[in-house]
Amino acid sequence: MSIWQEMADQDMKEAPLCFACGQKNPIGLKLKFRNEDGKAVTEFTPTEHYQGWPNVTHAGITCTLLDEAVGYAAYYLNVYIVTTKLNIRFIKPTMIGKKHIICAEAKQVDEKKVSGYGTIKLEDGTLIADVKAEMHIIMSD
Amino acid sequence: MTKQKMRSLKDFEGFTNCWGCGVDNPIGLKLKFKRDGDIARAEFTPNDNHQGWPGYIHGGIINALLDEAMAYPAYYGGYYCVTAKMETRFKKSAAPGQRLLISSQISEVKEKLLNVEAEIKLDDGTLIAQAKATMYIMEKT
Repeated sequence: MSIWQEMADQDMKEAPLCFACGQKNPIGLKLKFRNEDGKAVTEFTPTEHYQGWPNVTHAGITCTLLDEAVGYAAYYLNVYIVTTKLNIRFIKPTMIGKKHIICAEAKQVDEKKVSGYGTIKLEDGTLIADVKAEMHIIMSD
Repeated sequence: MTKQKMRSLKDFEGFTNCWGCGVDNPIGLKLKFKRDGDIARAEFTPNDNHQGWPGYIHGGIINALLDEAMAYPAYYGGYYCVTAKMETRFKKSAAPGQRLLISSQISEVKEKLLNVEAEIKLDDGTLIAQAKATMYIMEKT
């Protein structure tokens, strides 16, 4: 059995411990996305625990925000996905304590594939990073 | 970030609160990289708090491991860098409790840019993910 089938056979619609969006994960980001006309949107203000270089948001956190956002955008298409490819551009470094505005959209390419695009911006519109993602559908509603 | 600020990154050696590698970050990954020739190596065993879907490690965590890994060979070579872009391919999912072997090395040095590659494998050699990054060289010592 493929790993994808194995995953699809599990009941995974709830993920309370998800590092990015699980509200019960003690070390996670606890993101709460909302659906705005099909786009996944949320805000996140990194604390000092999420820095890489002093006061700079860790790029791994930036990646996680973008990965999760495109995943939610896919979810709004009523499909459950795993990420297969991420192309991330780090445009500007960003500081902890600043509000990051995360926005992503997705479209279904074929029966098994979804593509996504997401951005992180500051409140003044400054582009911090963006992502092009490819995702594999493991389950549909 | 201004050029002047970038130059000061060297002064932050010994910073212990990095989410990826800081020993004093209570919720961080606490990665310890070892130098093996030109290769940076580390091991990390994710736990339940690093999941995305239940039972599967979050793509953002995988990406963060690769991102953190790619900073080290540059550091070994005397380069102070920031990641400009990164491409990650997720080959297989990883589960909490599975030991992940992370390695990274420089693949190409240009005047202002470094190309770095990294991968994550299991103990049995199974490839979990691989990444390529282009890093901007801020300073060479």
